[in-house]
Amino acid sequence: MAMGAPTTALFAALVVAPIGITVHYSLNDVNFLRDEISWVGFSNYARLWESGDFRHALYVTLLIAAASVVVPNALGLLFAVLLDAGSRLYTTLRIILFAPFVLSPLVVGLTFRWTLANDGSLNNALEALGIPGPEWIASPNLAVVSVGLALAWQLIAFAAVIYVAALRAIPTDLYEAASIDGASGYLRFRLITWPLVAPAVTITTLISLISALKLYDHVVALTGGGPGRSSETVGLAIIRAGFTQNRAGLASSMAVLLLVITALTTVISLRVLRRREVEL
Amino acid sequence: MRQFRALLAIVVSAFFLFPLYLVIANAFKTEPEILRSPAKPPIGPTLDGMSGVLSVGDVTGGLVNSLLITGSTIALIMVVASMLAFALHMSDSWISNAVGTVILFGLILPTPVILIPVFRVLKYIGLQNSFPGLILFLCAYYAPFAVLVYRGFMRSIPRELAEAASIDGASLVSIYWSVILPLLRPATASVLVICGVWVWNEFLPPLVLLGPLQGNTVTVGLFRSVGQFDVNYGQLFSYMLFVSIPVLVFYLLLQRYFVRGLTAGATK
Repeated sequence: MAMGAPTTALFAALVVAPIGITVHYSLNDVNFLRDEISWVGFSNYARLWESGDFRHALYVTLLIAAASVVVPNALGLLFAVLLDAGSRLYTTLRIILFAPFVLSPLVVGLTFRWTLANDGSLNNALEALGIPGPEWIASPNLAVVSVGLALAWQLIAFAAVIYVAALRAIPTDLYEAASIDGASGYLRFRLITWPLVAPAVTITTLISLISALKLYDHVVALTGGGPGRSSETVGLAIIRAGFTQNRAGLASSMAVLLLVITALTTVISLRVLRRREVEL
Repeated sequence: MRQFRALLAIVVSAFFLFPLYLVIANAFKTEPEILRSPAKPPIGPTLDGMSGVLSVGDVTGGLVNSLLITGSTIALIMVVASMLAFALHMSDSWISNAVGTVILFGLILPTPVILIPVFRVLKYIGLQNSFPGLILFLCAYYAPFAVLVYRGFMRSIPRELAEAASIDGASLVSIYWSVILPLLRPATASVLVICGVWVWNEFLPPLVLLGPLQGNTVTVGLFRSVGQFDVNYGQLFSYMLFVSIPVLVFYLLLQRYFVRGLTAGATK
């Protein structure tokens, strides 16, 4: 185990200890400018509970997280089934489809800001079809949808590639045997495909959930949290409280809450999803 | 039916490519062209945007910094993660089991949660606002993923291999270096390409940990140049292209390892 010591020390100093310090800060009033720290118990948490802005940020974050679990999984699997074929065309398309996932979220957010602008490409296309385009970024509800779309665009790409890899690993004789036994397309999907892509469901769900709960880059690039604070996520609220307003105690209580939510949701989904996984 | 499926597949892929297409197309168009018809391809492409952004924003400096930070971080991750994975692979003690479990929690940690205290810790050891401080943090932050990939891969390497070498008198460190590390090459490729892309794209940690005086990474530079009155759209799209080209090239060259590494966690 001695060989693992340097890594363990690094991880302890820069990940584990900071978590402990965050918990400690969350129970204090912290002022870095005057180097003061004073114990306030749970009053930071109480202030969060009373703050309508924070409750809204939490709501936005959880809403996007829920959508990010459902939409990328469903569309990713659908696109994977579409692209799961052997010819060179499909191999090329799979490489293209994955490209969004490697792009910087900042670049993704900025291109979406451009595309979703009032006179942007999406509204121009809608207009050509005779549909009046809405104000995507300027309206409070659609700003949240826009942020969700930008994240989903990357996550669907990710999910599709993971599902293609899972589909390609399913032996074709399973399908052949099922066809001989007279199973319909739907039954073959229900009884063969769906159980055997279970590990892909697990990884896609976890990555989507974690990406949504820590959402920050997409939002600053796309809406900056606006209009007002209508599309602000918990990640944005933490950074604003901690750095812009210099209230590290309050920011830390948000951080602890986000950490607890992340840990609970990922552990629960992991348990549920792992139970579904079968060994081939 | 077959043609219809191919057509549908092409349409879906084109739809996914659209934002990237916007970046590439508009990086080579003139300002009036971009404003008039953003979706049109660059007919008679111009290099004004590309050369303009190189003179206004500090793009070259940002590219060099990002390259330096990404390169050092992934080199360090490769060493520390494979070492820990090997140590965990060879030991059954309660300490190694505990470390193996705790480090998994690093996989789900949102960066905004710990950046304030990380800054304090780095300040305490005198590495605040510095490249080494940022590199050490990113290495610690992405090590859990790399450890996961390495441990998954090591399951195919029998423990007896290392044990036999140690009976022959080799030390654990030399076994790791001369026997294990070469065997891990495919896993290392996955770790380097995936963590490389993630570290390159990282925005909040360099923004917070480097501070304004140290010079930017490309992502921070791009963020700061948005809304600056002296940066026009052609230059902004060119900036985005400069941020994206390295990861896209990296991905296209090594995409096989990318997918393999990401699914390594899924197949346990």
